[in-house]
Amino acid sequence: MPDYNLSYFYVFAFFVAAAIFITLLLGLARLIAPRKVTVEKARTYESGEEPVGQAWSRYPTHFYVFALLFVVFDVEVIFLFPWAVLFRTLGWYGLVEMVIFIAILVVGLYYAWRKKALNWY
Amino acid sequence: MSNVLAVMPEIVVTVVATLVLLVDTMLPRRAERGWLALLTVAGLLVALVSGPFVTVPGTAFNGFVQIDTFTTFSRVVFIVLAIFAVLVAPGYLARHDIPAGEYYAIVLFSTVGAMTIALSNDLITLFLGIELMSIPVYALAGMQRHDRYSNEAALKYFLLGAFSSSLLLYGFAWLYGVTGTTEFGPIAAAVARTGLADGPTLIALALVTAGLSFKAAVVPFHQWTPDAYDGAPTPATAFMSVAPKAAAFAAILRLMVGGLGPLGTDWGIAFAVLAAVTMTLGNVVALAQTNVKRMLAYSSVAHTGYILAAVAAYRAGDSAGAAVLFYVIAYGLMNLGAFACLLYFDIEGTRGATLMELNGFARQEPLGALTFAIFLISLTGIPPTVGFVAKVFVIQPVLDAGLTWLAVIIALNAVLAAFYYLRVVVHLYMHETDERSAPIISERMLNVSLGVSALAVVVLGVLPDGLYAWALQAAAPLVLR
Amino acid sequence: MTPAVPLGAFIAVSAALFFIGCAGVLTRRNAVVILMCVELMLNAANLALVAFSRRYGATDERGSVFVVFVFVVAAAEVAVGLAIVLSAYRTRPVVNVDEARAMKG
Repeated sequence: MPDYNLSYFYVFAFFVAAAIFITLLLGLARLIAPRKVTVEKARTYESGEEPVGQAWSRYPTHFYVFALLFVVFDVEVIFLFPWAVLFRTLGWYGLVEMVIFIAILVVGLYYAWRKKALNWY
Repeated sequence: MSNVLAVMPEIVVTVVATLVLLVDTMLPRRAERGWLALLTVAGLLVALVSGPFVTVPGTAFNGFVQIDTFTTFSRVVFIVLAIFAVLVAPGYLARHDIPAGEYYAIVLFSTVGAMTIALSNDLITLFLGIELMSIPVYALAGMQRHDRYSNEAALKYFLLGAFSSSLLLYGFAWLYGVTGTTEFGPIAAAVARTGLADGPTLIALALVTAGLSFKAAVVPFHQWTPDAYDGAPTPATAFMSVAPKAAAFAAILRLMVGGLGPLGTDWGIAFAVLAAVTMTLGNVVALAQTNVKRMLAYSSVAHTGYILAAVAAYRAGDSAGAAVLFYVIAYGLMNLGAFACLLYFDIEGTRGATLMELNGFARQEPLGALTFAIFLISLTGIPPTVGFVAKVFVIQPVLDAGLTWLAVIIALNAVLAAFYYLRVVVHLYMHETDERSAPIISERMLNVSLGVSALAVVVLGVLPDGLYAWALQAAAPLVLR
Repeated sequence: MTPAVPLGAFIAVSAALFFIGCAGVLTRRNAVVILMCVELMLNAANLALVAFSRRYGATDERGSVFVVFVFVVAAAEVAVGLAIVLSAYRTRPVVNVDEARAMKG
């Protein structure tokens, strides 16, 4: 058996041990703990707010535009990280390149702003 | 710095696209948007002339980019197609309330992607180019946001396009795994050593072939074509039917002929069969269409088959590559023109004119009808048009490569195609205007740009030698010596 | 010291992901689910690229570079794709691809 399979075996053994341990404890609790169901206890949130309506509801598709802009700037970071790591090696060339890259994104954001994509209504 | 100069035309087009977006936000809401079209065309012209002056042949960006005669040739093709696509659009965009700035910017971004494909020397550059070319076009298909057909076209085009991209990418991953490199030159060397001996190479080849076939709309990967072309706004269809196809063939030439050339005996026969099936199915289904836009969509599938036949004849050498490039230009001019001619008819939504709605067009708009007829005759492949010359150039290498059966199928298909193209001409010229005819719109910009491209179709049909010589030159760096 | 996982294990997972995604695209009818399956296929390719890149690390690291670009491309694709799905939903409140069949022939 190669080494790496052995490490999976450890994970598996841990998984089995955890399962046995939890089953044991829960079974023990079921045997010896007293059980008394009341109205209060059966609620969704015991001593909390009552839920109103369905969990599946419609919400404004406008959230999508914000999510989209978030994704753009989120993904930008993926290029910033390698640049940050090699900041000194890349020098001015890298800096100028990154400034241009971010400038293009800013133009996109500016466009979204001018087209009123950022307005809530 | 020489790196930056190497991709100057691409940088210029990108800057112009950004500029168009910025200017668009500054213009008042109801301003004259014709200026944006002029700005776009001016920028494309700057990119066109900047190419020969600043770029020097060779590789750049650590071998990611390659500037050679093929790159230069393709740049010109893509820019010219983009210019025509922009010039025919303004009237339609204004009538249908499509944001003009976005339309031009999207066309420009897609053009940058197509140009990137042409200069790629690495799987990474190629993939980026393909995606940059296709993603804007998905949006272009859906530009008419309140139209059901436009949305449906965009949805279908997007889903199948994204699917094909992921097939292609997985193929690229395997190719990298098999060869240990992403650069075309070393890939060619590696596959030349091993051949198609093992399973992984076969998987890579199959996935890459399927992915590129989707992009070029080769049967059986063509299902998105008719709906996407039919439902998209007509000027967008004119662009979509030519530029992405030209770009897909640029990718096929770069990757299959350039990088995977040593496996040519394996994919060559597959492409030959696919080409035969593609042209035949495209033509047969086009016969049954009564809507001219949908008919042209199927006919563009058939033309993919002709171009693919030239690719399959890669063994004939430079003349095969030149035939592909020449056909791509010819197809670009005549197909863009034919779709753009549908802009003369004022029809609700994105729908194209039916045969009945064309009745009597020649009486009302003699010049428009003449250009339409020229494009259709060229698509059929009747002399003295560029369509005829292009077919001759395709058949020659196909015969040289020993694919006589394929040459026969091409000839038979040309006859089959004549029937449905000429039926449109009959409706244009030999039927009187009646209550079914669609109202006609006449615009100067549309007239002029269609006139120029119809003239180009005829002139190149009479004097093809200069362009063909240039195409031969462009095809030279693709084939491995 | 963690023992090395062989290349084959990564490729097996990647192939499994790819086929799940592929099967999803071909069988599911909801546009958003199809989009998710396409993402799965892209990530299968990413995994394969990273695995191969580790193998060829000494001579060619470009596989890892490729993955960075694929991430960005995938994000752009999803952004455009969701916009198209949303727009289609506005004109016709249906996201099932089966029911998008105004055009035929």
